[in-house]
Amino acid sequence: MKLTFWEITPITLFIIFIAPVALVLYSLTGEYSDNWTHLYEFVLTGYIINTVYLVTGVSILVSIIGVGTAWLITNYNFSGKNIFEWALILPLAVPPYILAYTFTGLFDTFGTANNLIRDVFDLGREFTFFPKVRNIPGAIIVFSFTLYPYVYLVSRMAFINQSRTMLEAGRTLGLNKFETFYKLGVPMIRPAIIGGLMLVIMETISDFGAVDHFAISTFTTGIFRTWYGMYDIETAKQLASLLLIFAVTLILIERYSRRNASYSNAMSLYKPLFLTKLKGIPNTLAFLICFTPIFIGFLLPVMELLYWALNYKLDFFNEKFITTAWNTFYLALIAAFLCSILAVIINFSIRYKSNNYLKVMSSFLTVGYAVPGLILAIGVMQMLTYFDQSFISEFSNFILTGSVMGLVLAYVIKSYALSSSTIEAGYQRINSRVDDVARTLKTSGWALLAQVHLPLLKTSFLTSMLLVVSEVIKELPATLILRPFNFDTLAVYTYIYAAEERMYDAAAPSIAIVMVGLIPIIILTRMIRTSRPASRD
Amino acid sequence: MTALEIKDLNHYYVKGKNVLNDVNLELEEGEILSILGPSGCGKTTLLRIIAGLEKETGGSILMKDQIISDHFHTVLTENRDVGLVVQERALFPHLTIINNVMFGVSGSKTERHSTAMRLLKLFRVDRYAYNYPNEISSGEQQRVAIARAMAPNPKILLMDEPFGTLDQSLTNQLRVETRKILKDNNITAIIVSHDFDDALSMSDKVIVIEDGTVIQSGSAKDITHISREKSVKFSSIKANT
Repeated sequence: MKLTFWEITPITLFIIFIAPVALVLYSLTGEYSDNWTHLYEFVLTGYIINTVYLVTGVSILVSIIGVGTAWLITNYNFSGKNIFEWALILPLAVPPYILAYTFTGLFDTFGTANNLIRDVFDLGREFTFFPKVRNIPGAIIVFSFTLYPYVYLVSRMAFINQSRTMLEAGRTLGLNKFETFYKLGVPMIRPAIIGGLMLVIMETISDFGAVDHFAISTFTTGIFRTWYGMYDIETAKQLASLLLIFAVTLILIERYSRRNASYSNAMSLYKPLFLTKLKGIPNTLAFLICFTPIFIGFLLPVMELLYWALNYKLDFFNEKFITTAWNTFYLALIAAFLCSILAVIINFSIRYKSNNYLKVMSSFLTVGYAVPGLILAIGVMQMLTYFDQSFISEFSNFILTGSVMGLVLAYVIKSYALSSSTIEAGYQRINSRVDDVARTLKTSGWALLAQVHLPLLKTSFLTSMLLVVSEVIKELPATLILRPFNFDTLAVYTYIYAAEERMYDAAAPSIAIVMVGLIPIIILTRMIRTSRPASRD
Repeated sequence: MTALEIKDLNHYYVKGKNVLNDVNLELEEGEILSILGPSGCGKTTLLRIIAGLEKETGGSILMKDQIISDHFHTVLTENRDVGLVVQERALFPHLTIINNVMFGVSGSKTERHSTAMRLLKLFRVDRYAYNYPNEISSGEQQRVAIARAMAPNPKILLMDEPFGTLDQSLTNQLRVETRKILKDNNITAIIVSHDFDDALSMSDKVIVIEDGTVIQSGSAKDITHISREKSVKFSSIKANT
């Protein structure tokens, strides 16, 4: 069979996307150094215990916040409900490491909140009102209040699709309102909750910035220390492999749980839920339950950042900031364009060639999203070093290693899933008969893509670009490893200042990251508004 | 001259479960053929195979005595010179009506424009030339879809349930108009339908397919005289008896 561009591209991408991950895993078959023995005997248990604590705590808190708020929003009418419905996803714009920095700034012994309490109540310097946050419970709060929107979003959609008749059946069988919620409502949407929860866990285990700032030893901080402290990349890769195996196990669990996803969706019998109007104390309680996560996850950090920026560093738009912002934006734009155009080409190939192998290959291309940025960075670095040593070192110095190209490659592999799902959704809206007709009108291949599909995918393409831009701007661990010398992005800039406890200097890049992160959130809120069935209000 | 000849055509998706069995047919230039049959009988698959959108598993297809598909080689859809009209109309939503019709036409911009305008006039939708598809009614969209398929002057026009989503009075009107235009322009056409009236009012020839096998063929007149209960079981025909 003669392969065409539409088959060769997915195969090539498959190899490029899988190679870094395979290289990391391959390290498990190599030799284990003394550092590994040291880590295994003294540190590894600590990493595992801390990671398990974090994941368990975050999972519980995120489930309570995400599912609870989604249930309130979909079943009740209360003060501020229409605003909460979309505002509850605002914390997605704040990466955990930025919330961690602001939390420290707020609640440390001489942080803004403790100073305020001392000033208001005229207390001495030795008095500390708020407990320390640089510990595992603090990290659990940070992750939970920035990541709960993943669970909120999927739970809300699943609750909307629940039929009134099923819940009413529960009520007639003697369940009160609360029992209806946890015995019927929640179990029926369990696959959706697990799906959201897996995303939260992935983000938690792959985070570097927040745990590093809180000085909590986890796999990610361990990998960094092994590499940059012990200069032992092989052991770092072996540690990364363990984390990767954990991540892959989670994906498999998530896929397994989705197997039963259809049981919560009896659309043929669907009757929209009636909203119960809350008054008095229940109304206030519902308001507070929805307001608190928005306050802690979004308003508090944004207010603290603005306070720092405006009071202490009015000249933050200096030359360095502008250079860093420019680096960040052009990298993000290149990565976003590449991701989006590749997603278009791959999805077009699948549609044009109607080939099941391409479909399977395409699903493998999206696994980068689940691979922690740190692991990906190690794999990409390894791959580029191999290319440099094998093909380029004879003619010149290392070109690929430590170049912007590695960074872009890591971003593309990590963010491709966002583009692919957006473009795929766009393609689902284009009737396949359009392609049939176009082909009879002598339009195929590139012409079909350029003249028919691309104009129809314009909105999906832009959405994909925005999603990737905001993802790349927030990305920290891969950027830290792969960035060229003296090359900073906003996330790195924030990290470096925060690591030096120069929080006021960290404010400007943090605000920039949050502002850019808000763009896809605004798109999402629009989608949420339009997804609300009219009959339910 | 024979516009289309299909010899011993077979097709399956799962080996052992044929969706088309030994289909044979011949169509002269300028003739209109209707393929009738119930849903899932294989009539749309036959049309897609003729268009080159699917590859048959056995048999051969000739157009104007040239082999366009057999065991050894296949002419791609885009090189077959066929026009396609589908039930969903599938107009390109980002293009104006005139640009939709000009889409498959070759030549200078002026030539393409005049060809498109001539067809739009023929179908009495020229006043919407600069509108977008969503700004006109479904009947007008179907006229545009037929005009677009005819614009590149194809060897054969293939129409899959062309009036399926339109109301009865509009369907009747379009059948008459379309047949007249096809005949006036000597266009060979194949219409796939489950509606017996489409076949009766538009075609010169009719074949009836059931379970992938041609069970009747002949002139539209002949088919109406065959006992329908015996051989043609699908609902629309029953509704018309």
